[in-house]
Amino acid sequence: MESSTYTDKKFIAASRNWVNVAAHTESGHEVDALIQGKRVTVCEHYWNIPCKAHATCYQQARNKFDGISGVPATVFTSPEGKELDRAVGGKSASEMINTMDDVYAKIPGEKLGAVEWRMANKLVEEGDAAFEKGEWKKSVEAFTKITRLPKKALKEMATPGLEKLETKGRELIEDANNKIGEPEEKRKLLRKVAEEFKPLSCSKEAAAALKAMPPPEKK
Amino acid sequence: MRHATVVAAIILAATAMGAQERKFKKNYAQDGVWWAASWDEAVKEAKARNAPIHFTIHKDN
Repeated sequence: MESSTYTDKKFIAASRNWVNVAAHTESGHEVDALIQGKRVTVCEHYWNIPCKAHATCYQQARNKFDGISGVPATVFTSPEGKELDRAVGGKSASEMINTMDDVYAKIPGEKLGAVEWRMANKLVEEGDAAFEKGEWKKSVEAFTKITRLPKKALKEMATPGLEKLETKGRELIEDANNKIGEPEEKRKLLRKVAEEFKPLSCSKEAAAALKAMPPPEKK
Repeated sequence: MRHATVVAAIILAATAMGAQERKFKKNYAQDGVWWAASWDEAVKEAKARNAPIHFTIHKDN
C-alpha cells in the first residue's frame, strides 16, 4: 500500500478530508530528499515524515484498537478516535476511497479539509507575527482574510486575533487622548489607528475622534 | 588534551559515516498523504477540524 495506494493521486486528494496516521514499528527507512527545494530527512515509505513519527504513532495508538491480528490493517475513527469501521489486508486506492467516503458521510456537522485548515492556520500565524512586530495593517489583513473563508469554523479562527487587534487599537486611541497639549501628535496617532486598523471598530472610533478634533491651526 | 582530540575525531568520523549511510533519494515525491507526527496531535487536529481519522498499521511486533 505504501508504494501503490498511498501514492495514488485520487487517494491523496481523498486523504485531505481525513487526519492520517501511520503506525509502523520499524524506523530504518529514512532517506535524504529535496521537497519543494528544501533538503529533509524523511521516511521513504510514508511521505514527508521522519520514521520517528510513524514509530511514535505505533507506540501511542496500536493498543487502542482490539482484535488486530494481521497487517496491513486500517481503522477509521471519529474525530475523537472512536472506531467506526475497519479494513483488513491490502486495499487498492479505489477500495479505500469507497470505504472512506462511506465513513466520512457518517460524521455529522461541518467538517474542515486539511487544505483549508492549513491555509487558515498559516493566516493566523502571519497575523500573529505581524501583530508582534507592530505591523497592524498586515495583521488586520491576515485575520480579515480568514473571516472571508467559507466555513463558520474557519471564520471563528480569526476571532482571538481580531479581538486583540481591537484591544490594541483602543489602547492607541487612549494613548492619543492622553496627549494633552500635543494636538499634532494626537492627530497623528488617531490617523494611524483609523488607517491601519481598517475595517475594525477601533478604526471607526479613531476616525470619529479625529473628525471631532478642532482643525489644525494655520501657521 | 590529546585524548579529547582523539575522541572528537572519532565522533566526527562516526557522524560523517552516519550521514553517508543514509541515501539521497533523487525522485522523492513532491506531494503525498499528510501523515500526522503523533496520535495525540492527530486527535487534536481531528477534533478541531471535525474530521475523521484514518489509522493504518503496517508493521506489527
